[in-house]
Amino acid sequence: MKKLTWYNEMGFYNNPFSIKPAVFHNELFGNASAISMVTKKIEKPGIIFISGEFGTGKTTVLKKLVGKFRAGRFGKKKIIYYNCNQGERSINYDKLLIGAGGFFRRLFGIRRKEMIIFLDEMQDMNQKDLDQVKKYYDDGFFKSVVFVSKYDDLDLGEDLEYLIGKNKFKLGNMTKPEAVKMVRERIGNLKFVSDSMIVKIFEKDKNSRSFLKNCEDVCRVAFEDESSEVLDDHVLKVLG
Amino acid sequence: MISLIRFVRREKIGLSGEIEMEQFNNFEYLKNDSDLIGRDEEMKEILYRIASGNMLLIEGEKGVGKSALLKYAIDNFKGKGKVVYVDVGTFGKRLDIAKLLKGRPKEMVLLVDNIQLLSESNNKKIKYFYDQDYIKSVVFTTADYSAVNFTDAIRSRIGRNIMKLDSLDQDQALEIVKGKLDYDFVIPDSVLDWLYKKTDNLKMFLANCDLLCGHLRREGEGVAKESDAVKILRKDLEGDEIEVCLECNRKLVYVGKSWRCESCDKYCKGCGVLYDDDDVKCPECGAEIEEESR
Repeated sequence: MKKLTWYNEMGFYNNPFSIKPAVFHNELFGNASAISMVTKKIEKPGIIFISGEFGTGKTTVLKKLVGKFRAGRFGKKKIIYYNCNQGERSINYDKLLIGAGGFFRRLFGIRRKEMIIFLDEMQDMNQKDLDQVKKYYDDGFFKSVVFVSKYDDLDLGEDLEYLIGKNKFKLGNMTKPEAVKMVRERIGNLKFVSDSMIVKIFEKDKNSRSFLKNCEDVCRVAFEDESSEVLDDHVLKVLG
Repeated sequence: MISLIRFVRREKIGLSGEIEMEQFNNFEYLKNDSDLIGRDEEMKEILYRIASGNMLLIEGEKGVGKSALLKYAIDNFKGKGKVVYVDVGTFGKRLDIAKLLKGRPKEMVLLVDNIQLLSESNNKKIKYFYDQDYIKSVVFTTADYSAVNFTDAIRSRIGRNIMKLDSLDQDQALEIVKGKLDYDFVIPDSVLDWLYKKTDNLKMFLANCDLLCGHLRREGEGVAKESDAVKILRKDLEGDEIEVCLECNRKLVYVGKSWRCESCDKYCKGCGVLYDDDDVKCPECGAEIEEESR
């Protein structure tokens, strides 16, 4: 028989504090202004650059946008998501453009136009791929391009820098109320963790990923302690 | 058919834990399958991290039982086709995580042994597959976390999930050996004590017990004595000494069927037989001897 973990015992099927990007297709918390700006901008032609530290939710934002535009008013698939860590030596844009089309486009190898492309982890792209992005953009295959990287001071070359212009966004950490909201969204109104405890855990480490990991560990310790709710002692025990 | 080939390959290459354990099957005394002893807390932690979709790193010295723990974790998933075990040391530079996961379902559990040898591109691939949920959870093992060339992305995902394995105490080590013996009077406690104190780690201790069982079997003895254990260890020491020249202390080379010193001995390079200064041809194989070496 499968052994139950603390979250199974509490009625969750999956780990509610999973750190994987967009496991729960809920709304995003934090960086609201940046995200709404990106959402507006990608519908218009242009190149956007998003940067952010580890675990601030870059990939989560992209995944959310992919989901939104796939089901949105465009109807057809309009977005290509490509992660430069995927392992291929260079990016085959033609293959991506053909693959984004329907049955007949794939059959006859016709490239789609006016696509939106998300390039995740673009710091690992090689120069040739970077040059080609501009070429495909100029030719009208890409309507807009979204670069995502953990560094905000990458040298992209004069042409690309000019095209990006002011469309540079930096993702940061959440605020306290946002952190509380995010946890409430994931675990509901459980009395097991009070809002003040969530704030206390958040103050120990404000990075979103670390915060989720900390929440998981604290809840686990409290549950194994057979306590009815998370107490200061549990936070101290895990986070010092 | 393909799954059969994959199974055989996994048995042969991937599960090095299995291969290491296989030697115990050569003798009748030490059994391959025995219960996990003294690692209940650790096993619970590993299974929790796997179930909850985390990355976990197991750090422990050589021979402390990291691979053995992974092997027990695999047993927990037997027959479900959800686990990929890979020993980076076996594959070296040929390892490609993308190829390893090709054609497999989503949410695999990845167990990676000896990650100090993992390349940067594989690092990135693990991160990508983990984020895209092709990999549900990952367990890494290494002897030294600081020596691992992880990217910061992986380090931030591992975070605090580092488990340090300490070596088992003597009682637990003896319990493991007794669990592997059909009749535990074959090696008395006094002999086990003596052997334990002579070895550095659990792996060496088990290997020595294994050798001792083999020795008993060859000699036709029923119960081991301390003198037998001494013989086993001394054999190891002699084996080490043979590889160094007694005159110049250089390492010997193995030629033909014997160990020769390159500077002190005069030997045929083909068959390894020693010859005199006057010889023009090798007395064994008849090959001509070069003037320089004469």
